[in-house]
Amino acid sequence: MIDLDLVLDLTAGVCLVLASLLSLGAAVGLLRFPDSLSRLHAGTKPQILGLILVIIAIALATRTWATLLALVPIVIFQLFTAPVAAHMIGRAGYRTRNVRRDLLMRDELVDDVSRAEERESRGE
Amino acid sequence: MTVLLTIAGAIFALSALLAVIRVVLGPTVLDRMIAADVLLTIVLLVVGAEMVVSGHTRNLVVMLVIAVSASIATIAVSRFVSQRPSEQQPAERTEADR
Amino acid sequence: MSEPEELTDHPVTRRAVRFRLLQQLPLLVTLVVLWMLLWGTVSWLSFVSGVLVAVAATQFFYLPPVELSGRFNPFWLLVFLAHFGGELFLASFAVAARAFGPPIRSNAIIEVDLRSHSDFVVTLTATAISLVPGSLVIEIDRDRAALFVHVLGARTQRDLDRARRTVLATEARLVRAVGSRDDLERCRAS
Repeated sequence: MIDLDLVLDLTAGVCLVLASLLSLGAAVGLLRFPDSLSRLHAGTKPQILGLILVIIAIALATRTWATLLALVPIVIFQLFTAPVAAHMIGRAGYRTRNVRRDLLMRDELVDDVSRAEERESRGE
Repeated sequence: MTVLLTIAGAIFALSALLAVIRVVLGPTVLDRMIAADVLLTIVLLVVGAEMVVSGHTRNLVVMLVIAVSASIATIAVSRFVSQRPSEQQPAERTEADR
Repeated sequence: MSEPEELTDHPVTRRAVRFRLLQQLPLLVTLVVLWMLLWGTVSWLSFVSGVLVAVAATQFFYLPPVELSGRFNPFWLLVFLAHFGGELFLASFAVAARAFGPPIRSNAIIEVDLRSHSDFVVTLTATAISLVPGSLVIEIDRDRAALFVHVLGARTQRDLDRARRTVLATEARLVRAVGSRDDLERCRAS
């Protein structure tokens, strides 16, 4: 039984290291990626997988069902709110011209936005 | 086990530092917001990791509150930014900020 | 927004109210389950208070009801979840590795026209796409059911095609799980 405990603890430790590597990747991406939207990509990844890894680690370390049940809503909330927040930032970034257009090899939204802005300026 | 935890803690600290650097550098409000979001996520993960280290579950509620409230701030700021026309010239804006 | 309490005397509107409650039942059940998970206890007290809070929340913060298709296939939902989990795992580490690799020279924004026009499927697809690192939905055209996806580090036409195929495949898996029959036919046809 001691062996099993050790294995579970080690797995939890490995999960924590992986999560910390993900957040390091995000932080380095924040510094190295060229514009706001690319940095947004970097920011979204420890939010989900990192959180899931840490939560697996907590569940492995405590080994009770009650804890696991309490951990589920955290992931659910994050799954539903993180993409909304990312979408809002991305949208604001695009609308306020915080995107480096010279980096976009293809932009299929540009016509659509100019059409929408025309509609808005006509007061619809 | 202790080795793994030390490594994880050191990497968390390093990434939090890098995120703070991006918050300071900017250059736009959006960049700062994204970096602050990452910083908050790291705090969330560290709160979780601390529970693994100390073997208790008292801070689950803290994690829950951070997870729920993090995105609200982000959404509020992005709405604020998209309504402010002066954000449209990021280069000039940053010089004025300092 | 109508006042259902005042209109319930009328038989037609009473049926409408009952229909609306039935339509909101999945949402109510989800809210109650979430409430009980939050308290971390499965007891009558948490169940009853959960029902009260769920009904109050759906009445006071009225949102247009989510229109479900009425079809549900648990097997394909599992396939979708497994696939989504795998993609999330691989893409997370791929983007993290990207941060240390050569600098990013170009990104792209592509328009993907979804085949389903159901709000439910479009929302779930957009959420799943945004959750996987490397792709991000920055705008949605609801009338045309078009997603505008920002692809990180896209350099060639092949990258764009691959991103487009990924979005459409995610949509197809979701349609197989919860989409309507029409959408299913449309996904098979294309």
